[in-house]
Amino acid sequence: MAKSSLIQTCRSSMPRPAAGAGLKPEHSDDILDQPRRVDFFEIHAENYMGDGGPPHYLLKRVRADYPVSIHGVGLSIGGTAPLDREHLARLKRLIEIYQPALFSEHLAWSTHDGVFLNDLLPLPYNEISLAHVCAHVSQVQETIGMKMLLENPSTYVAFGASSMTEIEFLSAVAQRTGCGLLLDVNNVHISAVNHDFSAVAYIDAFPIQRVDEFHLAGFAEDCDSEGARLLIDDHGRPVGDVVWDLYGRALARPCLAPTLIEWDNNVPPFAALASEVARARSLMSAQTGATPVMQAA
Amino acid sequence: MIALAVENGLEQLQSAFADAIFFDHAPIPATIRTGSGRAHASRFCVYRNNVIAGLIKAVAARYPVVRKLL
Repeated sequence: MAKSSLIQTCRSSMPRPAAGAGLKPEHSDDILDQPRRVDFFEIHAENYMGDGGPPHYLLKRVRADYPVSIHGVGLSIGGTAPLDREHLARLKRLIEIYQPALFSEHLAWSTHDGVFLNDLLPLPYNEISLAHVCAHVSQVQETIGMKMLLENPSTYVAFGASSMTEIEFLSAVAQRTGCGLLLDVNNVHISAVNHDFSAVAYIDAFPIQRVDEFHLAGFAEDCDSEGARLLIDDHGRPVGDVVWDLYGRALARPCLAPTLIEWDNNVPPFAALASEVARARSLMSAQTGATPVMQAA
Repeated sequence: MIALAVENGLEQLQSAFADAIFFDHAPIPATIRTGSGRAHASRFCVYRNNVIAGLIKAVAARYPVVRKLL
């Protein structure tokens, strides 16, 4: 299939507005046997890089009925090392098989000296890191034959070596590579509290015309050793009210990008996840003045 | 050669960051900050904890019988 027709096939399959959920194997019976409650499912690419077995069995059945979004967590886009070509080849194959509506990755690094650190680590924002990230994003897009989205991170530390803001950095990547952006509203709130900036100002300044997806998730409250508030991106509870408010503000700019509820730890019954999805959908519908309607299967 | 020095700086920063995650005795990179000033070590430790806890979780999920025996 030619690149352009692949992109058209992919991008046409996501309804607007769309609210989706992360695909969890423990929800498979609810998803396959119960009435449709979400508009799309998102998977973590790395969980489906094996050759077969239960993960692909479930995903193929889900993909037959729903648009799918693929979210990578291990490419190490912000790393100084070259991208892992074998990992990239596995990703390309996954994308060819499932033809996702969206593919996204993180503004973070997770590999160094051939060692994989299973976390999304922060990077300083300057011309040098920008050049690395742009080269990697372009390489990914050329390899997979579709636009990728880059997600703003949640961070616990920042760097003295930064010479531009996160928004300036993300805008520059999008401009130079043509990639889209994934605005994780929970990450905005977490970083804003942790680094003492205004989340509202961040949402207002974000290049919203580049946003092709929103993420919403829960966060945990903690304190650092000096007693200052420290929020942790734990994806282990409902979306916080403060994050819903920020999301509403982003929608009103306006931007009705597909919205995903992430709930990866302490995974709740599917009904609880689906009600969060319904809340996102109704906020989107309120923006358009339409009654929230479940997309037909 | 300034650009090269900065380039090495990013490589060195990631190297130091990774070392400090895996080795308790490795120094936490001096360049880390919060928006309002110097970051405390406890903030860096969130990353250390995420990586180590993630590895433990992965091993536990992969070897359920061994976990029961422990």
